[in-house]
Amino acid sequence: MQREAIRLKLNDVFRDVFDNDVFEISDELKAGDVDDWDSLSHIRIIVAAEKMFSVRFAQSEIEKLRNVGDFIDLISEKIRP
Amino acid sequence: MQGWSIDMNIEADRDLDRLLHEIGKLWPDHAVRLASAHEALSANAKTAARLNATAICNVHGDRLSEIVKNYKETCEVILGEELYFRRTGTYRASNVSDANDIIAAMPGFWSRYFDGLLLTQVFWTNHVEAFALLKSMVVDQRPKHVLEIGPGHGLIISSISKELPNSECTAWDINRSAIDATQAFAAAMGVDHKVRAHLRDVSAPPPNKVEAFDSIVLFEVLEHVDDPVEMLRHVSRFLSPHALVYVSIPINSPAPDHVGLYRSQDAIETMASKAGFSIVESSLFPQTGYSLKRAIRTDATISYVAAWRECKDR
Repeated sequence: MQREAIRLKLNDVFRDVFDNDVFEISDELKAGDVDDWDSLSHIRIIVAAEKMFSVRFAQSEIEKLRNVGDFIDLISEKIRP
Repeated sequence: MQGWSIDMNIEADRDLDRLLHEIGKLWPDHAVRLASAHEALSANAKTAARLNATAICNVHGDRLSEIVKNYKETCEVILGEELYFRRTGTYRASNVSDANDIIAAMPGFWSRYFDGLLLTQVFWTNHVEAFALLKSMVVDQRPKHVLEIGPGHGLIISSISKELPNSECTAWDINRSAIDATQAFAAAMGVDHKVRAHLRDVSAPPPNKVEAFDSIVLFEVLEHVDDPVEMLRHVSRFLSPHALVYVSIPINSPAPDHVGLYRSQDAIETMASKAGFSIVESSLFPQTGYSLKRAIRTDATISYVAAWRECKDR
């Protein structure tokens, strides 16, 4: 799957978690930039992405993520054939 | 509020700030979120949060940094359970035996957890709103005899006693540390002469003398037991005529010691009905940062608070 296709699907995850139909993610976006992005929302994003892309993230992989761009890269690595 | 002067309110504001400052030293971004969440509380909950802050500072003022450290660790443990719950749709433990095994693998869990839960009674929206409403409901009934089963840290029974100077308050727990904690909070709030805390199991055969209470409180208890219906039937033995049972029960709230997963208000009220209780009134409080509508849609944590009455025609 192309990086842009992952970004579009991931954007739907964020819109659903934050209950915001116009939410737009970018590679630079991080938790501190969004008021509602607390640790519980973070878990919901991770698990919703796991379900959407049929992957499983290890705790160590989650802890290394600095921003949405890192997350897209990690998903891309996970689903690479 | 009875018995609380303007000076006490000033002290309570100072103690809330003291706790936030202590949290900010260890976990700055979290302290900012908690301060913001406090501003969004109802007036009743804001008052309860401030008074709880003062009680915590009075009892644990010399170890606040340790309390905050334990609160952060508790949040991390709960996040692990949240991850499990979101992935599987179930709690990790489905019975008390499983929960005990999970907890046994975390040495020192209980003391850290009790500390952590104390701060949630000041800062977590659903916890403090549930605390404040349940306390008001009991106080408004003006009961002569109040029983809390499973007081844990002892904040709620001590707070109720503070506002009901002419009532007798009793607390039963099967955990010695809960009895000690309850006595410590009662002393810190100046009601130790009115709150009797006993090591006692509600399911044990009652003594020969008649014991009856006008209000029985089960605050965050029924999600911890294997058979809540059976427990409620034991509780029924101690209700005076026209008595009410006051409950707070979490919906979709994973924690290492939670074994009863309630997915909705209906699930809780079906359980109450099976035990022979009807619902007098009930309220729902979503977790910090969520509207009730969003919490229901996303299966987020919600605190259910209610007054129940035993159906006499059973």
